[in-house]
Amino acid sequence: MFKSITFRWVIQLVIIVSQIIGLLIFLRGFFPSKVVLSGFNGFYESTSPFSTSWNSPKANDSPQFDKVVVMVVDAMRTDFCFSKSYPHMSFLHELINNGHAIPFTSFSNPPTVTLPRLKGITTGGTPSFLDAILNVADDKDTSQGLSSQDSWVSQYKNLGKTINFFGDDTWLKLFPTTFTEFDGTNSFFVSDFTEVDRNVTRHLDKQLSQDAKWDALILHYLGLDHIGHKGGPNSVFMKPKLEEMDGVLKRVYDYSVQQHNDLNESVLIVLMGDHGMNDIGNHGASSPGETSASLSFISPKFSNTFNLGYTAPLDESPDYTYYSKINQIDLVPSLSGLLNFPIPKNNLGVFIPQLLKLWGSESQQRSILYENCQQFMDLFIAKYGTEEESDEYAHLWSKWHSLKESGSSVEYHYDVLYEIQQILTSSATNYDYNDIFLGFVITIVSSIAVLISYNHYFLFRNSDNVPYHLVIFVEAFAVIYSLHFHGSSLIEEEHQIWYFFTIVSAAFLASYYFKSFNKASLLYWTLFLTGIRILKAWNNSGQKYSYKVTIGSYLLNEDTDILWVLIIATYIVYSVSIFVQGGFSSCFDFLNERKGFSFDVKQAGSLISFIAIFVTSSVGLSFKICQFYNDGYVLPRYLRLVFFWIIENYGVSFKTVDNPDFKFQLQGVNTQLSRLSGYCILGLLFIRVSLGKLRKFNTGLITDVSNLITLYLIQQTKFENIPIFLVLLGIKYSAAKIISQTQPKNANIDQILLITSIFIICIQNLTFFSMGNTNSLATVDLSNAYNGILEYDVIPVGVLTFISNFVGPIYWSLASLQIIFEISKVRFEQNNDVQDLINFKFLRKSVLWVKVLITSLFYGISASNLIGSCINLRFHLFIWTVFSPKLLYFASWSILVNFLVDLILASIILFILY
Amino acid sequence: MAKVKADKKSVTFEKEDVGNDSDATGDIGDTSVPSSTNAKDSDTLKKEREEDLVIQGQIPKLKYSLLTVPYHNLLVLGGMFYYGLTEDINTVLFNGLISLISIEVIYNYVAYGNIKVTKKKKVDNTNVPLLIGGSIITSIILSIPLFVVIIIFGAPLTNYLQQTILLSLHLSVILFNPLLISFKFDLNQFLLVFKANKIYRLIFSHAVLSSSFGIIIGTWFGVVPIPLDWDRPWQQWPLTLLVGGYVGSIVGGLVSPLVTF
Repeated sequence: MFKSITFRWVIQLVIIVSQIIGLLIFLRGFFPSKVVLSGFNGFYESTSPFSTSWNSPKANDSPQFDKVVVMVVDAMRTDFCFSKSYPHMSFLHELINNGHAIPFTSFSNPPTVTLPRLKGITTGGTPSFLDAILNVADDKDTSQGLSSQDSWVSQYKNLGKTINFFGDDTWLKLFPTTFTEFDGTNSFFVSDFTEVDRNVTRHLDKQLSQDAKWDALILHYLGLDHIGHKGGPNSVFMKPKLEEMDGVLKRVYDYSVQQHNDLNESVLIVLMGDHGMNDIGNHGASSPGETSASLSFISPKFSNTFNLGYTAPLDESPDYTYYSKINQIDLVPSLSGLLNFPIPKNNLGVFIPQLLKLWGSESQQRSILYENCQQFMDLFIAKYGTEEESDEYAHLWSKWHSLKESGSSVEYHYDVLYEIQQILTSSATNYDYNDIFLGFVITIVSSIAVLISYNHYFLFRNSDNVPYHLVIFVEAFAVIYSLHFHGSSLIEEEHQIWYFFTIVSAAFLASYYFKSFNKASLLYWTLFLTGIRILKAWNNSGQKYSYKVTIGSYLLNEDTDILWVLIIATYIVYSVSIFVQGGFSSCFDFLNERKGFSFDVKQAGSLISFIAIFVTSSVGLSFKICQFYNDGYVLPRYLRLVFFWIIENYGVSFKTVDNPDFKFQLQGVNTQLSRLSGYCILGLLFIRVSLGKLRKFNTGLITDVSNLITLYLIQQTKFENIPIFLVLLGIKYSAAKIISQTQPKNANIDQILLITSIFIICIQNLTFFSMGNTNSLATVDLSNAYNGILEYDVIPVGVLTFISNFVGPIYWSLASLQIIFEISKVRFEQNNDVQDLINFKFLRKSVLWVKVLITSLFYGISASNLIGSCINLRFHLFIWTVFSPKLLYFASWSILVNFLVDLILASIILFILY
Repeated sequence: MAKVKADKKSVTFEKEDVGNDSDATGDIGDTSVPSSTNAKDSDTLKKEREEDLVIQGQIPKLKYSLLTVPYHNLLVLGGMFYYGLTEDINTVLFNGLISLISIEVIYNYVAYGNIKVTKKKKVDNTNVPLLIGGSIITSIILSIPLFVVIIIFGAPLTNYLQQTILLSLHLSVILFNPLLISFKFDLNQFLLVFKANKIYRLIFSHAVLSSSFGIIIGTWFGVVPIPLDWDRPWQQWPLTLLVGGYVGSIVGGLVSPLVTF
């Protein structure tokens, strides 16, 4: 019974499915939705503690400021505003020196991505980790809206005020019905530095005129962030952009001075970044550069009340801390105070001490802080229960009672506030331990099951002789690899681990088999090792080391001529591969019966297939050319004519790139081209498979399918990464040569499968990281996620995001089928396919079973270790910044790569298409 | 004791096998194909062991294994750290290289004297100063291919170029110089090592070979601390590899007498 292949498959499927279910249950417990209080807050006393006419009957009507302008500049790091290395915001510096501006370094809570930051800035809460993913996977999801959650925007709106908004349309997703006048700009074109901001500034003429009726004006500028993503913090575009922002600030400030003089209205200006950026201009993680956003409160009123004696610009600070450091969410209670409305219910921010001085009397200062304390305690009780239920916080309760009873000092209020804040923020999420441990147990059990199954098959069956050292090596490999999950820096630098492991595995293989290698194998080893060394040098990955010049960045930024030569070469090489490698052209030989199996130029089939392949890859190449231009790069001279020809065929006349209409038309051309290319590839696949079925001609089918899919993968790859496919082809070729040399005489299938599987796992990961990916959410690449999509739709965008980020793993997953089943094709040997495994139909099921067994052993052991590590380190400092993103990446690997691609796609190719 | 016995045996084999040498090696190549991992019967095992003994007899032997252990490497490494290796890597590595080479000359004399002379051979007329000078120069030249190998195995190319060059010079001197001395530039003799059936047993039975093996393994696993976020000065490139290589040379050299006894 144990030997029946069907029974084995059933067991294996149960194991894989339980692995996935275990992981999903764990994720559900690990990322629960957080405790959020619904409803809107009111004042705790009958009168507002914030009012300037405190304790008088008119109390609730007299705020410190009548109007507010919140100017959010995306990714405005502290040093852009305050440091001598960026002396471009001279007007802001002047305001600081005059005391009209109070500058802060505000800590923006990771994940430093726009959507969770905006939620924090408006509600005062710390974001749940899921917000970060939903920012990537994006919305249309009504649960993201904040209209039902308490925030300063809705509190202010509830006072009957008018709020206008211009800028990043993320705000409109959060507050769909709140704003009276609004204009959202989409961050669709990351390469657009000017248009997004001009679109905001053009409204200022009207908004800053006398007949504009608003009480709050929110502006969100995206250009700076785009410059960071494209060129980093030292980009040449930085200076003009900062000067532009300074100019906007000056206009708004002049308006506030005018309002003050003419109408005696005081206008508060808040100039802030929602997050910072790191050294290469990305954000999402928790490095000091990313979490240090600038924040300034600006008003002509400030100089009169208190002189803090700040000067600007300051010397550069290595940890990006300038002036005093506050939490970004401290903005929320402070705005409540300054504009006089109740503090939002879920706020975790503390009233900013420097601003407290606006209220002269100390008793009012105390009552302001007391309001803040009361709001905190409500939240505390909602989370931990009343005094009787939360006895582990008895210390805090006693402090709270002493605060309530005696009129304590301002300092004591702050002491209590910071303590509650500490407790509430450190456990922003309550883990669901039932789910966590259930998931853990299921994962462990399925891993033990797969271990038993693996060892039973390879070691205790005795019918087939697999070298035991290989069997043990694979197990040791999985165990040693997965130990790295217990160290945060090892997760960050995982690309190093994979490079090391690939070389170690290769050396292990070499040390056992080098006697069976001949002189030629030296050539293949050199090709193989050089190939993976080039891979390593292609992009930066990880947090610790980043090189200024990598192959990818050189090609993209310094020498697009060579880049495009390489891209065209890649297209040509893969087109030729489709033509000669598999059985594609032979499929079309209707006229003459196939003799032998070599392609003959004189045959009609060759001509037809050549034309079909040529057209398909030309369409793909044209799409890439258009996309390159559309992303704001300069096309090489020799491609410009091609580009003009393409757009002329679509009836678009060339204008400058700044012209919005032209850009819109180009976008349309891009969409059509990318769809056309996709359909062409799909068509070729369909023709190949159906011809194969009709004519019973399946030689080289796997190779054809994987080559055609590779054409699509190339289309979904970033420009600078496309030439990597040339390297990958070299690695695949040399690996196939090396693997077939490990057994010169009698083929031992299990041995081939062990070697191939471990090689594929290594090279999948290595390629993944060498394409610039990391284990941090900051590097999720969205530049190819919208290819061929007109309107945002979560499913196609999600699928395309997955494909464009996992190009390497998908490529190698298909390559593994090739190496296992059609190794002669990978070696470009046309007539030597007698020994290929694909010819032994009865073996297919068991071969795939063994391969799945090996990979699920690897993923099972890794999952157990990762989950164990996350449970063990759940209170670790880096749990949200390092471990949680890794968990999500691992889930993608395990579910999408291992299950969907390695198993489902492979089964479709082997059992349905064949 | 066991070693002496083996030596005697090999001496007796040496004469008969000279003529059959090419055939024998051809056989070894075929029988060692790993796909034939059937349980070997005692005859083949015996045969393999005898073949290994032949090879062991043909490579140079040492008088005292413990004498060839490169103890001075520890001195050089310690000295470099004493003179501030972590502060100024390039200068100290260069100065350390000069000291290493001068100590290595003395070591070469010791190592040369430690080679066992087979009595069957003619009078040894080696030009010792030429051998020693040649081996130093050759090991410096061999640092170029070693550099290429280090780069291919993942060392940074654009940054830290000087450090990587100095690393390969250091490793090349401590790796190749003892080998060149003990094998007296005889490449064929050296290649015999790779024809053994139990290659690791052979390597660990020879102090110089196992010391070299220790350098390779030590350097290789010296990369492990690099990604850790401890941010210590000794984590800089290429210090971990250098330490791994140096320590590996001594550990490897010391392991060999342990294994053989």
